[in-house]
Amino acid sequence: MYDIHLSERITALDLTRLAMDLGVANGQDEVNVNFGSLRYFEIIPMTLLLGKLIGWYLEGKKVTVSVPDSCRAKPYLQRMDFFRKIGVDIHEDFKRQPSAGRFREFEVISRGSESQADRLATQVADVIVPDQKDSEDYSNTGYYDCVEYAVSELVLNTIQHSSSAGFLGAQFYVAKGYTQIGVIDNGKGIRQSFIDKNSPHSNRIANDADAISVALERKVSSTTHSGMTGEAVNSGVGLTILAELAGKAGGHYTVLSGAAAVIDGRVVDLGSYRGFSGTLSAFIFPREPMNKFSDHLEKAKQKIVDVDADRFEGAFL
Amino acid sequence: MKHTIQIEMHSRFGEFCASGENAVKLLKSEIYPILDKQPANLAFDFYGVRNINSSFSNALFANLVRRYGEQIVQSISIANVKPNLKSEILYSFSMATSEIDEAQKVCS
Repeated sequence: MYDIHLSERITALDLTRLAMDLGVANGQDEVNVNFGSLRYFEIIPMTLLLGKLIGWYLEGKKVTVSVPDSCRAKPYLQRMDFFRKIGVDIHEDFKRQPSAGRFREFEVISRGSESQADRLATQVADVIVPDQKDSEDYSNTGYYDCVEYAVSELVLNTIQHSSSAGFLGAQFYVAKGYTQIGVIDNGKGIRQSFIDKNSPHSNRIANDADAISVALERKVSSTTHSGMTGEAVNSGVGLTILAELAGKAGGHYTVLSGAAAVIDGRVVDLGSYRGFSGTLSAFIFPREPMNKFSDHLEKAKQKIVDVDADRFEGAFL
Repeated sequence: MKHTIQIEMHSRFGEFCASGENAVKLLKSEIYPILDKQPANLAFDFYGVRNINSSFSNALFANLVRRYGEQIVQSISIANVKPNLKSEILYSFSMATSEIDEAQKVCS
């Protein structure tokens, strides 16, 4: 039995360290994760742990968790449905309060239908930005639109590329003024997705770091080579635009797949045996700047393609 | 006189248009079968639509330009769009025309 003791405080900044600590157990048949010291756990690393635990179950490992009362983060983990999602039933000693304005319990992203993307995205935006939910003043719904947009693109990415189910978690941190969004799947990973789809970009990809970097390039996805017949469901810009958007507004992103991660454009090698077989996409969007979502989105897109508004203005009544 | 295909977006896709797959279904089932045979106008009405993502906008509008060329935009009218929707659609038109320009450069 390999024991992993989670540290007291795990934030989004600790993500790659957590990935490497968990990865050490990849070669073990039995793993126990001990939550005893844990006091503070942010949603992005929590999403990674959830995906990792599910991945180990799927690989046939014997996985157990130890959650003693000394774990100060236990009620929060329960409120996020973390233990339920890994099939562990722990009695709750508290009354559940409404989540509006703060978080969304972990949601399952099912394989197959894209139709769940708009539903999930709207549900998350409803609880993260409840004050903008019913606003008729469209100049005052920027952050709601941002969260809804980002979640929809991340959910679609999982459905279109992973060939696996996934999980979505989101939390607004009031004191920090930003939302963390994490989406994880136990699928084939970005590199394998390029290979399986016979992508013409495959020849530029020698490892997981290359695959993530190429996926973040403009108009590149494992499925964007379907020609000019007008039947492409994916133009390969979703992740790229989100990364640009986060950069424009003082946010951050991490894409972790296989043995590598790309964090705000910086490549991190996790080591060949410490990787994660699926993909984690994690974004932090600050609220104040993102209230001007439309402006930031337009700038992010201009970086990808020169938008010639005058050329197409005649189409709009 | 050209036939006009009317498309009410809210009744089909709701307040948030987010699935490229659903956009392509619309194109393949109702728009391509007509446009492949004869010229027609396309009238999209976004009344009641609050938000749109890149996947949907590209799957609908960039695909129309990819299939029929930039001239198709002259047959398209788009009503009741919020500023963020308009920006998204303009991007889709621009992306598809840039793809066509790049393809032509490669061919020549």
